Amino acid sequence: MKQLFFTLFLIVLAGLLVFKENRIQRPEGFSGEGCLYCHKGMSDSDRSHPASAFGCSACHLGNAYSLDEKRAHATMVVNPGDLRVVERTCGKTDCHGDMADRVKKSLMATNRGILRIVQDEWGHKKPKRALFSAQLSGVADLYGASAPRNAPLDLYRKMCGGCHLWKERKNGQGEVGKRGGGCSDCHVVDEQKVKNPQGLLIRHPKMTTRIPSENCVKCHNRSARIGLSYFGIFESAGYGTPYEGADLSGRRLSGRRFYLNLEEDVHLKKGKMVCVDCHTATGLMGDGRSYDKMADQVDISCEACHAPRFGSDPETWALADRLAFLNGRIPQPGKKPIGFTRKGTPLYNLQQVDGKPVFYRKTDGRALKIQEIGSPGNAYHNMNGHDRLSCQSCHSAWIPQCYGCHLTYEKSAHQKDWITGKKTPGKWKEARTYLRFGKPALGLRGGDRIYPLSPCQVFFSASEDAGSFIKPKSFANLNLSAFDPHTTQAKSRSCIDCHTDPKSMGMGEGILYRHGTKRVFRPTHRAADHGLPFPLDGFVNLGGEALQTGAANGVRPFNKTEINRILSVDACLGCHNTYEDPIYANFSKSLVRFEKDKGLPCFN
Amino acid sequence: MFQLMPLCRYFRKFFWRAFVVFGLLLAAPLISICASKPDPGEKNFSDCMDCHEGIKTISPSHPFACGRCHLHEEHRKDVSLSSHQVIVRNPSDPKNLRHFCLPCHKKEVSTLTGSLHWSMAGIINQTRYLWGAQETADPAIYGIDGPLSPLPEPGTSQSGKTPADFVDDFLRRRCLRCHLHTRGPGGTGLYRATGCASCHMPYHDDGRYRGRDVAISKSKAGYPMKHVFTRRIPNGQCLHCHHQNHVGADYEGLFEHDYSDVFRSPLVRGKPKPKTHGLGFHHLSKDVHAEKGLWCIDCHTRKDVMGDGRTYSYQMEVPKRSCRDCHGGFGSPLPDPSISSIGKMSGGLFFVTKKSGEKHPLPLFADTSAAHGIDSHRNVRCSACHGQWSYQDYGLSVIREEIIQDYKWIERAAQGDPRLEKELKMQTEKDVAGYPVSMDWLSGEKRPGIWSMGWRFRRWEPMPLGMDQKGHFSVLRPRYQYFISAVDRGGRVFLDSVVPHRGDGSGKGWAFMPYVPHTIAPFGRACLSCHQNRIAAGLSLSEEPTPTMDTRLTIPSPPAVRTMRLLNKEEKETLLKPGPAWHKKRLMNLKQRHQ
Repeated sequence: MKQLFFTLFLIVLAGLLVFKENRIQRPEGFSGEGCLYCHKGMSDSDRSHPASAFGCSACHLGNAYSLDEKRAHATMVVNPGDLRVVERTCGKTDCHGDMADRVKKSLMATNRGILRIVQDEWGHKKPKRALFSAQLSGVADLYGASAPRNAPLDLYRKMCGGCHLWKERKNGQGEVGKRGGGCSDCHVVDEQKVKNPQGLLIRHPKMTTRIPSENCVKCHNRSARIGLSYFGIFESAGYGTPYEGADLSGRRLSGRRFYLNLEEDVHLKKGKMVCVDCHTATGLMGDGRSYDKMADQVDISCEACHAPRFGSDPETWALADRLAFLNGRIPQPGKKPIGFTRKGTPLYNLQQVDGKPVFYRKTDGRALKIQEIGSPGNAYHNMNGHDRLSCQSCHSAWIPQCYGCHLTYEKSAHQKDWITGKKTPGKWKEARTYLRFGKPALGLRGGDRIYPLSPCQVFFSASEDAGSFIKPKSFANLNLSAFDPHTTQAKSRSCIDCHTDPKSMGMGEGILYRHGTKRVFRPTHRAADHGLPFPLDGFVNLGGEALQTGAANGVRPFNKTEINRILSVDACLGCHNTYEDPIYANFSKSLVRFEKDKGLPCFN
Repeated sequence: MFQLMPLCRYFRKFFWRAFVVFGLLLAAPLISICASKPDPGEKNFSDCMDCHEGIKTISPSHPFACGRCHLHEEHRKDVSLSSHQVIVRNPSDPKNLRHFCLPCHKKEVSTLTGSLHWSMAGIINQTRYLWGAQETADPAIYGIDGPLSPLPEPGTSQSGKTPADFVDDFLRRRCLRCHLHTRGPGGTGLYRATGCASCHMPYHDDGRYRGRDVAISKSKAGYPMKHVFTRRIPNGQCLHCHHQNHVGADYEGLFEHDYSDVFRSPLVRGKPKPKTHGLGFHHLSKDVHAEKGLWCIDCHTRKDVMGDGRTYSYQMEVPKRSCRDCHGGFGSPLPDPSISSIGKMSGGLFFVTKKSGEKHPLPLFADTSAAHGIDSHRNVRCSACHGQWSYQDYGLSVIREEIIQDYKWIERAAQGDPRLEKELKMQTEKDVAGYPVSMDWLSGEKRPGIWSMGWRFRRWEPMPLGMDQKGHFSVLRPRYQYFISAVDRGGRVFLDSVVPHRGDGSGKGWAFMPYVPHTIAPFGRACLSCHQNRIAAGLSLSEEPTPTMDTRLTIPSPPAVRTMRLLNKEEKETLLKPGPAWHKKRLMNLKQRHQ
């Protein structure tokens, strides 16, 4: 009897289960996950992550087997790229585990460069730059209640902290709302919002390695402004001209800024290249080390393409093949030699075809001919004395220059903290003295490389609650930064541009003349009202004294010996105006002859 | 000081009767308060010193009773005046000077009324020509007053279709605030009088009275420094009109800030500096003459400033004292002996400044210098080499709005004019549409509408070259590259950034004008700032073959005066590709200086 009851119970139970199972509506071709039952018609994110193979929960987590909306969504993440969850999503061991680790250490995730500089600004008077706290490894440490706090970090939170990978990709309109989101910050392209009959979005944001430049420029439009300069965009002095109808100009940038149109970078103009055509995965996402300076993390260099070195080994081919596959438009290299970056990353889009380097655009796979630097014997790229010049020194058409950055801090006013998203006491404001887009001054970066310079001149005024000025907390700290302005032109600057112009030498605009045997410089700008005995564009004086090297960033203007060396060429350039001219083979010897030999044709 | 001593003695001697002169010029406001007392009938306004105790005689050469200058003839003999109304505040105002100044200063008044300071013919005729309202800028047709025809009444938006219909309104409401017939907007660095007094009666930048007349408020702005008429006119006085990016300000090393509020710098104690002359200024190198303490009037004589009886159409054609008059030049190594400021001592020539009487060694044109030894430099203005920087204000967008519906001016209400700024700010900050009004400086009345403006970008570095009316190489400055917009009361856009066309159909109404930058350095700029220099030759700042809509603004357009021109092809070529002889000369120059 007992057995019968038990059998009956089982039968009823089985019947119930069968009944219930039949009552539940399941999507056709049910794969085990219930997501697509509601999200019918959801498109794939890209061809490497088809939902048919991966399902949804592999990336979005959640309770994929529940068909109850609430339970299914309870543990779901909308943005799997968010660095807070990335170990369980994109960065799973079997997927992109190594990548997630690298990205977290990369500058776009740590902002260590910015954090170090802002803290240096405040610490510049202290001998050991004590403000930079050792435990602060990056912006991630600023989240949470026990995060370190001081004035420069408050500045960072309010003026800088909205542009990094830890920022959540939500809240805020326009550019602000699109910034952040970990992996998605760069790899996601928003799609138009399309809904299915159930009213649910069905167009999955597109994931791509062919990252459109808009994704870069949404952040890279401040500070060095390379994301603007590359496109020939220069932030203007805010006139908003010419007017359009009854309104100001439509040429606008975020933050109520306007722009002018200047020359585009030749890579854009001629090659229609986008940012990621040059900037490699290693350069952007890091190589596993945590850097303090962008220049150290960047992987690409002009030489990587224009004086390429190629490699052919199975490991390179394997990686290059995979990357080319992911791109989908660049031909698989097969057994073709592959270019390398300075850090040894294979440039899968730089391949040697029939003995010639060919560059493939990542957006459409189109092949571009590479202008090679030239043979080792070529005079202009192998000139004695020019060996320390970076390509950018001569081939940059202009550099954005912001003179005088007047920063105020008002204790009683409130401003949004980008890390917490909340308004907190203390408001920062910036004003400028003037902007320029002229030819860059040159100086040294890292001790041995000549680079274009741009000023970063902080004049900080602190105010108390009642708005009264606090002198001891206020300061001026003038810095130089050296970077690739991203305004490359095919033609180089002329000899006289650098060898005669005091602006190029870092002394600023003015008249450089000789008074008897002595050189004298009469600067045009006067900054006595800024409390400075030298002009704002004077990075160095004629005596080679560096005037604006507040930050310990390894950038300096030319010194006295260098300035004298540069100027010593001036007199000869009229007649000896080619790189091939024999006097430049050993110029110091030529100079001695010029001073001493009577029979030279120079004066006859 | 030596000039002040006799003045003091004079005052002591004549003090008892000196109380009569010009006092009421300053007293109008206070006396009008007196006039409102309960029983005005008892007040006798003919007794000036009753209120104006402490006022001094206006100058040693005007030892007159007050009434001689401040009362029309019919009232001068009145023993009693029941009202202040008949007292003329400023006898030198253009409306009054014929009655008061003219009888003694016939020559001065008659030349002044023909001068450009009086007629403003340059500004008026060039702008009208460039906006297509007249066929030529030279000879001038219109002027504010004097021998030229009066400026036409402004057009109205109902009839306006082209820039020509708007130009008179633009001139009247934006440009002509600076002339002898109006006191202008006032404000720090802008206070001044009209007529003769606009130059001869010094105002402090803050417009506060510093004399001893007890009737004049010392806390209210808008008064001259003292009741003084002088020929020793300090530069600050000239700057009350010659500011913004105009010659005069450059002499003092001033370059106007950009308009946007985030360009008010440097901050002083955390706050933007108060505006002078309507805005803040960058400080650049001053003219060397300013560095040595020379005033404008050390060079600019009465004829320069007050005319010589002829009618001129533009500033550059007015014969003025030139550099060579003091320093000598090509073919004339010595100064003009008739210049009384120049003297001789054992060490050579010297120049006595009007400001302090200080003697400065006078450097003469050095014919040993390489640049001065080049004969073709004979046709180069001194300022083309010795000017250190210039005013290059590119792309001027102007818009007349009769309605302001948005917040676009919120950060850019500063327009170099405190009155416009105030109005613009008030109308912009309203939550509802604002209907701004602004002053017609000729009629003295306000009308609906306001002209606002903005530049594309402003620079002091580039120095393009062109030819002045005498065929001398000169520095050019953009004046101006107009984009004209107009919006009516209903918000309809009549003109949408229209580039005007010249009145004679010869091209677009943009001009670069030869001028004399007052930024003289004691030595010339480098050879390469003209030779082998794209900017000097009049090519775009950008080396790209197709400049952008912004960089193309750096390419000069022909001047508005027909006798002036841009460099021709040959001159450009010579500048850009100098021959071997030039290179040799340059080397000689460097070598010469080296030895």
